[in-house]
Amino acid sequence: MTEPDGMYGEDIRHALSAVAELVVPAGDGLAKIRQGTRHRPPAVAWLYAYATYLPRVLIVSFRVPASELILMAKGQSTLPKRLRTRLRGQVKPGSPHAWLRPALAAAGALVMVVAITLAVPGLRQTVTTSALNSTSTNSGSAGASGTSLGTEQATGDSRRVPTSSGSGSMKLTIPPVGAGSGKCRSKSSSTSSPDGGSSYIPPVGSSPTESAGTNQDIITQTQADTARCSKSHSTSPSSSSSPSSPSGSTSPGSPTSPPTSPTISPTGEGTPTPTGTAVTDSPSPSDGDTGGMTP
Amino acid sequence: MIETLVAPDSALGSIPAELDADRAVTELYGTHYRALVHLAALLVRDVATAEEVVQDAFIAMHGSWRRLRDTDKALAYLRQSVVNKSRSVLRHRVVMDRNAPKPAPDVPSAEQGAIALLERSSVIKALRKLPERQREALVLRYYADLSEAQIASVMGISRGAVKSHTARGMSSLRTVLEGEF
Repeated sequence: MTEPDGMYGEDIRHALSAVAELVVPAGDGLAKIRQGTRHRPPAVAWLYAYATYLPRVLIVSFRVPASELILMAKGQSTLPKRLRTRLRGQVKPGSPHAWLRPALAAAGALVMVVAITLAVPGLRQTVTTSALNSTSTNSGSAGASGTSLGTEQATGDSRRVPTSSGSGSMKLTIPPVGAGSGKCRSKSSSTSSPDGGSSYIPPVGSSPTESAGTNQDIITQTQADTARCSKSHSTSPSSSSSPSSPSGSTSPGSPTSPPTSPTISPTGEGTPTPTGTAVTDSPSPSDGDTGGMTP
Repeated sequence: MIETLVAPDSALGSIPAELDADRAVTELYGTHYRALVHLAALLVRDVATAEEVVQDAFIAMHGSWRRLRDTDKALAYLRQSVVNKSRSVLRHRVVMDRNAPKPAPDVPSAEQGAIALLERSSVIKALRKLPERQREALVLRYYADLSEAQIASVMGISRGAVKSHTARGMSSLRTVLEGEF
């Protein structure tokens, strides 16, 4: 080996040798090397590596729960409060919007059902047919319900209607407008029923002819009413005729007003309807001709 | 007498090719372990780290024993492995020193104290200021007493690069030492 740098090279060599001589390696070097070169099957080596790795992962993973447990033991943990808030879904029990979520869910479900029903042609046809059938069935059974509504046990409004002679009063039941299928007065509600109640009572003191003629008119009107109701069952309750109202605003002298044009009292007297009006198409009790011919 | 890392050819040749890895490790450990630790200590300036570097080099050699076609190159493999691992340690140390806060200086051990005392010498100080490749080339040249071809093999560079690194390192040392003296 040549010495290209003369004196400096020799200085460097001496200095490096002096530093290196101070280094005394430990005696367990060979043992460490053998430990490192120990042959292990791959599976065992993998298991060994995982066994040494797993405790570290567990320690790191359980550090947070452990600290939380320590805080809980000290009574400084906020975990129960956070859990309670999480379980409540961050909606306070007294919140005014607490009902909104189930209502929206129900509305969404309803919209989905309707949309699916309308989207499928066969289903839509089936639903339409069944709806029409039920409509006709309801119109046929409206008389029964009207009868029941005509009684005092129903929610109808009863009042005393003075007769034309003024000697007494008769009991008149005004069925609640829009209550069930009784919004259209049926024949049974306008005719006398065996159990009385709000049945049609001829006025006292009226002439038979006059009474018969008037009754015939009313019956005709009622029949026309029934036919109209069976045709258009879905009319609004406020527009349906109620010939039993005593405070009719029909013009005097026209006791047989057309059933298709009921007069709505603006005063709202009578049974309150959803629209706040009372439906009347009966002649006024003060009408002398009709003589308190109340249906 | 300066201890060299160049083992006589007869020593390497005494290891038969069919020697198994454990026996080769044992033989090379008894012959060259101390010198390799010295070399690593000069490069990494830490005895414990130097020992770890050399032990890792032995383990790597044990794992690569079947791929070593020539058993005579085991020592060269060990030297190269030591140099490469020392570079890795130095790079890691640079990163750690850059990012980690500086710890309070603790009391050094006797060995570390002696090394620190010797490193106060102007030559070692000037050597520490050199770039890494130049320092490696000078250590391998003047401590391990390797030829240019061996240095080129260990450092993984060409012989011309070895000459260049050596010349530049000596020039820098000369400048520093002439300025001091």
